[in-house]
Amino acid sequence: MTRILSTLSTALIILSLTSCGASEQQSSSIEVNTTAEGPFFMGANSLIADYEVSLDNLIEGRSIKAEEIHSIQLSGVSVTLDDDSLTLADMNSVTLQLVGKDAPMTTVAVRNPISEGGQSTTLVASDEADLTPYFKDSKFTFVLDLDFKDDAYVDQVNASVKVDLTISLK
Amino acid sequence: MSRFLTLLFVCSLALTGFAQEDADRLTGVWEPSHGKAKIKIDKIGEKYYGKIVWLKQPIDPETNEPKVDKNNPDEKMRSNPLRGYRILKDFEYTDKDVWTEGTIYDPENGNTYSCTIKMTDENTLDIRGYIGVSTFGRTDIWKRLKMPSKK
Repeated sequence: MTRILSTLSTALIILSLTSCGASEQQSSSIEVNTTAEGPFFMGANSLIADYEVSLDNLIEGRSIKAEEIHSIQLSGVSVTLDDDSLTLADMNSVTLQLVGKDAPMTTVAVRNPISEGGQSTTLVASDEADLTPYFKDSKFTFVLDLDFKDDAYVDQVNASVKVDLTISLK
Repeated sequence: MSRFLTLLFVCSLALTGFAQEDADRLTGVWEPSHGKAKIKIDKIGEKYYGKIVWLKQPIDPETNEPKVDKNNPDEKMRSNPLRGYRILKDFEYTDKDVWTEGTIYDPENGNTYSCTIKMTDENTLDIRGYIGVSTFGRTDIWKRLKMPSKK
């Protein structure tokens, strides 16, 4: 009898744990263009972009509702400088943060040091950052910190940020 | 009646402007009492954030490289440079010279605390970090860094 009860309770625990988890995973990517006006001084300078959340277009060919989302994790982040006036060789590091009206600012990806020059790099994405609160809001903000090695007297810097997402649905 | 409404509208705009000016007094460069760093407070959207812009000892003696956030609980974020790191986040202006709802990060132990900022005069901030309720916390006094006047 004790054995049956023990097996039953184990089965119940497993059932309840799996029912709380995600049942389906989807991949998606979003791209935003961050910008800041110069001049830029040595140290971290922030490029900003607002992103309007559209759950209708987040997963290709499928509209989802906020309550269907179990979690949204990062699977990759890449950054491309859109101007030729500066290259990544002019930077020490690149850090990406997200902030929403009701969601705190979180550092979600970083590249430090930048070993290569050129216009593009990939960042190391956080495994732990849960992006769900940002996508449950109507919009949130990308804050891309470029750590300049020296002062740069350019009018504007633009960088596109491509974020790959793993979306777990209930 | 329409004249009264116009006057009311103008007054409310002026009040909003004053509140905004009050809130923005937080921006600038500040120095904590330990003197080991300088923090620049900026506004992003409607909230205020403070990042490290200067370190007394920018090089980690263990690695001989610029200091990084080696105590971050998220292992993958430990390569984040400390200079430029935002240690004050998400502050909102209430009124009476107080900014709340924010957090302060201590890079020396990797802990994040709830935080309240009170401006006691134009050049002094009481920064109170706490866990749970503000009764159990610690207050540090930060001084505004003044630029030397050009002659």
